[in-house]
Amino acid sequence: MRIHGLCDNFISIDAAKGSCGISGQLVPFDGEGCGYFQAAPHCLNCKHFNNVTTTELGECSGFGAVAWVYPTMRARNCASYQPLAASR
Amino acid sequence: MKISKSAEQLRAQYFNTLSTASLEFPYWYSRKYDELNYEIPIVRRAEALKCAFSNIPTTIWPNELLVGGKTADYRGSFPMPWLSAGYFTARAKELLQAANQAETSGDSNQFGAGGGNVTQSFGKVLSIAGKFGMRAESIPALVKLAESWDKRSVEDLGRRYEKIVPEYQEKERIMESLICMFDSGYTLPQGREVINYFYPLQYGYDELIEHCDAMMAAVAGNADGDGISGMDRLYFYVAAKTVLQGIQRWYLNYAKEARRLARTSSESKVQSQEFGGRSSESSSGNSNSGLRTQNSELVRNLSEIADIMEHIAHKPPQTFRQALQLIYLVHIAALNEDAISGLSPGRIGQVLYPYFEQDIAAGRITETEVSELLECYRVKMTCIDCFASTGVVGGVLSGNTFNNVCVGGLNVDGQSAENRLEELIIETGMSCPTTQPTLTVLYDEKLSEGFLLKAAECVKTGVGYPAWVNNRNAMDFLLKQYGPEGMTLEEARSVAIGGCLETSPCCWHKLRLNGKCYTIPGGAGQPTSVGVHFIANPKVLELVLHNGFDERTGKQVLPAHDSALADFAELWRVFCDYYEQIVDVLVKTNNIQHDVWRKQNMAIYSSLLKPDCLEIGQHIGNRGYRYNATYNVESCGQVNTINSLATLKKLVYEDKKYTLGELREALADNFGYMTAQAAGNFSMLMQKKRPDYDGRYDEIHYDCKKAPKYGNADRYTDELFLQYEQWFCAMCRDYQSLYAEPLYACQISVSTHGAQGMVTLATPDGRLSGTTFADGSVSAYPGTDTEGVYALMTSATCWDQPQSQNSQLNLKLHPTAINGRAGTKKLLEITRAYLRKGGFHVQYNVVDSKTLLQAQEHPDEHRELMVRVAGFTQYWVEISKPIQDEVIARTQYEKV
Repeated sequence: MRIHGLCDNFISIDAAKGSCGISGQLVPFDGEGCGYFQAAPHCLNCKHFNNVTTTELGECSGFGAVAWVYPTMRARNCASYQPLAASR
Repeated sequence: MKISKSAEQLRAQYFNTLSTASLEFPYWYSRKYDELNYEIPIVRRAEALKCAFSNIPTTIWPNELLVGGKTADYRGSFPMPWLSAGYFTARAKELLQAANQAETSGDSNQFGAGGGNVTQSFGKVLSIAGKFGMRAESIPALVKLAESWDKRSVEDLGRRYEKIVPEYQEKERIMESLICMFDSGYTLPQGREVINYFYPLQYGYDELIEHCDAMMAAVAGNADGDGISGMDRLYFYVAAKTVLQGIQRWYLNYAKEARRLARTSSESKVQSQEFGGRSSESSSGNSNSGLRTQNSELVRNLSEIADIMEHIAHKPPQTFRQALQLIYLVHIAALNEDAISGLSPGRIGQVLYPYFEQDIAAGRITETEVSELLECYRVKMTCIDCFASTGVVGGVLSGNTFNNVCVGGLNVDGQSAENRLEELIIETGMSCPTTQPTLTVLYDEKLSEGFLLKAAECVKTGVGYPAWVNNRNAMDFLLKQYGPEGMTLEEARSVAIGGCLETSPCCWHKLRLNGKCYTIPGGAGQPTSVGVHFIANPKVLELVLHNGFDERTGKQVLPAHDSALADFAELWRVFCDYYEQIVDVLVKTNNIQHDVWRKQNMAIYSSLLKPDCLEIGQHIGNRGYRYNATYNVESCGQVNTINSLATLKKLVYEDKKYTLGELREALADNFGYMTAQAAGNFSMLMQKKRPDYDGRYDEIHYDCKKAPKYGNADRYTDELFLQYEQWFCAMCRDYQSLYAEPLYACQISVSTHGAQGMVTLATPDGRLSGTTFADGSVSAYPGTDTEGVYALMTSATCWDQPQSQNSQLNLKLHPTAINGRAGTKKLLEITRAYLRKGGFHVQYNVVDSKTLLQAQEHPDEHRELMVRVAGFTQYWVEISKPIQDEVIARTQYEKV
């Protein structure tokens, strides 16, 4: 998904919108990203994330024991975050 | 004074922001907590907190000089299912269904009604608890988290043990009938207190950790003391160190983010130009150079932020900006540790004065720059949201978080404590009008006229603050309540207000900065407004008149008294007896709630901030705080009760014009009127009679409304009020908190007069069913104070107010009543007159009622309008209709 809310340049303001770090403009969370879209460090973009289930939760293997996790969790400060080669 | 550009932009952003709940903090907290099921409870909780602080996103918004927030969102907050999970588990299916049905981006830019409140779901944003927006894709995780805390949250555990109290079923009926508003142990177990910033300011985090290390070595294996708590010290120091490490990581993550943004800001210059650039619209011919300048300023500010964060993550602050940044983040960390409303910064003008004084003297900062920082601080504090249930956030708090800053008062030597920084705090309250932090003047005769007039000028701008609190009353109350715990006169002088109007015990510390020693105040007590919250007095009287039966729920709430209520003395006796039965069961169940809280969910970070936890190695639950006698009984609707008792006494028992049965029938039939809900108005204005009503209650309703009313310096009602207050304040002291300390009376309404009024039938004073009670505790019922403001003040001070933690008087003045310089002096004189008579507190709405009516009709045109409700200022569009109606209906003084 190349939406604003999942872009690395997205500065979250609330559940519906954020500020674009490049344009400085307000952008809707669900709006389509532009040519400068870069996947933000969310769990769904991490090598340790897998197995999206029917409940839309996944698993994290970044800290030894596997634990459930949700795909859109913001993970910039996670010590085990490792980006995938390309964004999903 | 004009608002600074940065604060103006940040404030504008606030008005365009939705309250948003997210899950990073609860996710990491729960994950770590579950990993450590073998650990000592306090250390387990500390590790969970450390993990959460280390991992939460650290957003830095454009134009910020101070950074930080509870979550990644501007008005962000999050649920704490370890405290209470039932709300979400009960709605799991409904939430998941709503998430599945959430639409995609089409209408995502629609905002919910009510300012930043998300009262309805839209697009991929779901409304949670009637206020917070949450991304639909987070809902499965919310449900999973909540379910993981089922049966082990503080609420689930507490309820299990509450049920052992023999009168538990009675308690359930009391809560159901809304005679009592909420369980403080499961909702807001902390707050209504003054925080203390001294330890991080003086020592910095590295030194505090070193202290924990040293103390761990000193106490390990040494029992000392009572043979139980002595051994607990080791675990407290381990936990304190652990949390401090998490806090350091959190600060450093902000530094890292600032450096990342500085880097990308440099890189994105070209890209920005392709978008038209942030400054391209305003800079015509030289857009490139304007952009370059703006960009370099941005990068410089971000680098400065990074430097500050890296410094205060380890060392004590050395400058005003560092110190302000630190105390803001200390505040946010405490709020993230537990569900808290009313955590007051206290007398920060005195706490931060050493940095201000030295920076100004050294030329490191100007007063204009200080003001800009203070304005940014105001916006940051206004962004704080508290996540709790709908009933608490809406019904009690009106969405407010009650971060009260006090100015004035006395210093440790008994002289005026005012200073230049406090003047700037008042000035920035005018230049940057926001709801937080609210301001309170600790009024003392020793404060200078100029200082007091500046505060009065601020009131006149219509912002609702500062409130005025009688410093001597506050000290009297503290000495009475905390004298047995060792409070001295000198220490009582450090008093500040916690929450909206909770007089809180504080203390002094010696702060050393660059070789100079200052004495600064800070909080030293437990939450001062926990316990029995809030009892609807008119509802208790309703039970008396209906033999213990609640007509609304159709339940026998209390055992029938079966008294004929033959005379007024008997009526009063039964009223007191019912009231005491209610308090008795609520105190017992509340003690269990807070006991489970202190065993399972004890404060660690908040504990280490306050004396004398770090010295003695005990957390709040083990009486680590210096003052622990802080539990109370809160009441609501006193004035309607007094007016009702006066009516009963006069019309039924003395004049015998009506029988009790006749009056009871008229009340049950709402004097022939439609209910407030049906009429769509919750004050006595604009109420309508039922179409089928035959006029039978016209005379009795007229007589009830004409019966003696409180607020007119009338001995008839004032003697009843005195009788009530003497009984109430003494009665509260008959009960003990879980700390085996006596409770005290707390008399503020917050917003409960709306919610509890909604469930109360018509009352003998003529008030109609479902309408809002009188606000505060000594405010007159709207429209009944006909003899002028001084008569009201005479009635309000007919009792000894320091017997209570507070009293609350709201006055609404028309702006023309205090016009010009003479008006400012007049406002100060009214205030002074009341406080000299012994009043505890007074505050003002300076507004024309017509403006409020227009705002109710056209809320979109009044996003910035603020009003004083009870002990707080709130945006008009974010308060409920019953409270709006009550504020409109308040007596408006055209002249004073």
